[in-house]
Amino acid sequence: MLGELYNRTYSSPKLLFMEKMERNVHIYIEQEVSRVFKAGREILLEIEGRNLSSALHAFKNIADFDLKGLGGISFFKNKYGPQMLINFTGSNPGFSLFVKTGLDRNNIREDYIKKVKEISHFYPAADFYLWNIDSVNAGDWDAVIYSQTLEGFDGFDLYLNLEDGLIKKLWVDNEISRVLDIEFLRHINISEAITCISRFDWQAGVFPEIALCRAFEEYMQLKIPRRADYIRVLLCELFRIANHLGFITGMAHIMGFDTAYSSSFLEKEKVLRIIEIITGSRYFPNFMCIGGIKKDISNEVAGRLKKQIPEIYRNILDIEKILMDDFTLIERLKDTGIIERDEALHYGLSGPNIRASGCRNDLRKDDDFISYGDFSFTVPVGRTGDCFNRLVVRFAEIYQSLKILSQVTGKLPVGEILKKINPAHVDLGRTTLISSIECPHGNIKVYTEVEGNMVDAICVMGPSKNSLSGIGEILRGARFEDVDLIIGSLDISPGELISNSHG
Amino acid sequence: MAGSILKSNLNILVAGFGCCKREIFAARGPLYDIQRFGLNFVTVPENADILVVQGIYNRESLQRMIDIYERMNEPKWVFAVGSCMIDGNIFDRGVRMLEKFREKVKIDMYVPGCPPRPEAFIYAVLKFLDYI
Repeated sequence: MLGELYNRTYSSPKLLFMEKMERNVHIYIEQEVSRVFKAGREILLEIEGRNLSSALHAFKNIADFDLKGLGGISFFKNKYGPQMLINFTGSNPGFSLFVKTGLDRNNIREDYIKKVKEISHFYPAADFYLWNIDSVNAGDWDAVIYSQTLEGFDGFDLYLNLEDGLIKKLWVDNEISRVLDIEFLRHINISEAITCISRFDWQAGVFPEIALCRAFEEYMQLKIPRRADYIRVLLCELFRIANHLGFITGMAHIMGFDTAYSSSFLEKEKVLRIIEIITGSRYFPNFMCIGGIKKDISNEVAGRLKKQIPEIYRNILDIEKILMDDFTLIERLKDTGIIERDEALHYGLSGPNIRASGCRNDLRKDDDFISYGDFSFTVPVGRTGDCFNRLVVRFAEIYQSLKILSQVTGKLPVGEILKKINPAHVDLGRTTLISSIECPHGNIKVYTEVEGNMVDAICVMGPSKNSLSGIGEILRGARFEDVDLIIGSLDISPGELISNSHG
Repeated sequence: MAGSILKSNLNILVAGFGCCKREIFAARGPLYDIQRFGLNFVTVPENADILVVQGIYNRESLQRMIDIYERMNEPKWVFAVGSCMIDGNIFDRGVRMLEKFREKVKIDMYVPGCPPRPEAFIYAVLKFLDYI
């Protein structure tokens, strides 16, 4: 009842943020902005290159804007030429503002570097998007950790400057993960884009799919059937549990805790098995479509899932007990890799990583995001932002996800699963759609430009890039032997690193 | 003789930047337990017998892969795993990874799928053990 009262009486906090931002833009920087655009549940500003600096000055110095962090920088190409997309996050990282500005088509690289330098003047976190190991002298680093040599290291190399076994300075080089073509996913139809987009999250492919479908559904004012909405919640939570169990498996492997490694691995496989029964695939479901889902789940599968929830819950409790009862392990995790709340906001961290630092942020609560309003759950929050908190928060999130699953399977509505609509027959005109979703690593944002029924440009901003941009701060002063533990605790999904941006 | 010794213990190095790696490493977990066939995963090229290439590459990572291959001791074999290697890269459609890679090395086994299941990878390795 409370949920209904809340949903019917007030807008979601995210909508309030959007209204406030739009108001502020009109009052403070109307001259600088060429166009203010509401793209789904996000605000997009189009700013000319020469006005970027004054707009950034306003964002940073006018308190009403409350844009504390940098969510990401990327570039893409649409029919008008190369464009740069910048995302700024508020004091709640779920609330963000997008800025689009054109790049000089003859000097893309130089113009990009010039603009990133302008941004880094106001938001120092932007320095990450300029890092290039070629610009660092070979004698400056003492140790290099190449990609894939340790658990959790995939898609980037780490160059470390050490002093007495402590990390003094470090550089991240993600040259090998810059594989995305600037023409990526251009001139394909919408259904193809939904299929391909799941490859951006290698651990939980359903989230980018839902984000893209939601963007189209919001634009078309399409209300999807309640059963489809509930099944989306169910899949989201199953993927969240699988991802967090994968995280625990990785952490146990790094710490050499084989019992916890084996147990959590088996639980993860159980969850993946359920996902596979429902969708037919373990990681990339290709299950969502505009207007609902592609396939219904049978009562037998729902019943089987309901029976397995207590079993999975008990087994995860056991894993938590064996991990948390070991004082050597807790000693290693506590006070290691600390990131304070303000620093985390500054780097645009989101998801469990920022919740471990004490920031209560969750798009499932802040946005009226699919049917999460119908279910009772809490948002676990840590305190100190160290590796221990990041582990504990994820355990707590698994329990909350199991609680949501139990509620979904208990009251799965009967009815249609799809509002039949053929995207090939829909002409959307030329429009921009942005959608963000709370994935297991944080907020993943999908920016899409559509013309007719074809996709003109797609840009995905994943939370793992923010975690990677923050590791310079997190690892400074840490012991060399803790590097893999700290990076493993940030749960960096390599698929999100394949954006066009440098750094 | 060399074949029977190798059959009892083969070291696999998984290289490349791609999502197939998750499924390949799932094979080392307790459910699939690839070690019961005497197969281990290593990260040092000199210790590896089989190089698994998977995922998506740019010029730098392709060069790194070839460096890893050259550091491996003889006899050595190469597996190409996943659709990105075999059919083409979905992130950059103009690039055909396998064609570029095959210019430098010989591929001994192909495992299709996007990503292939752990069972598919184990099946391919077992077939390969019969072959050598």
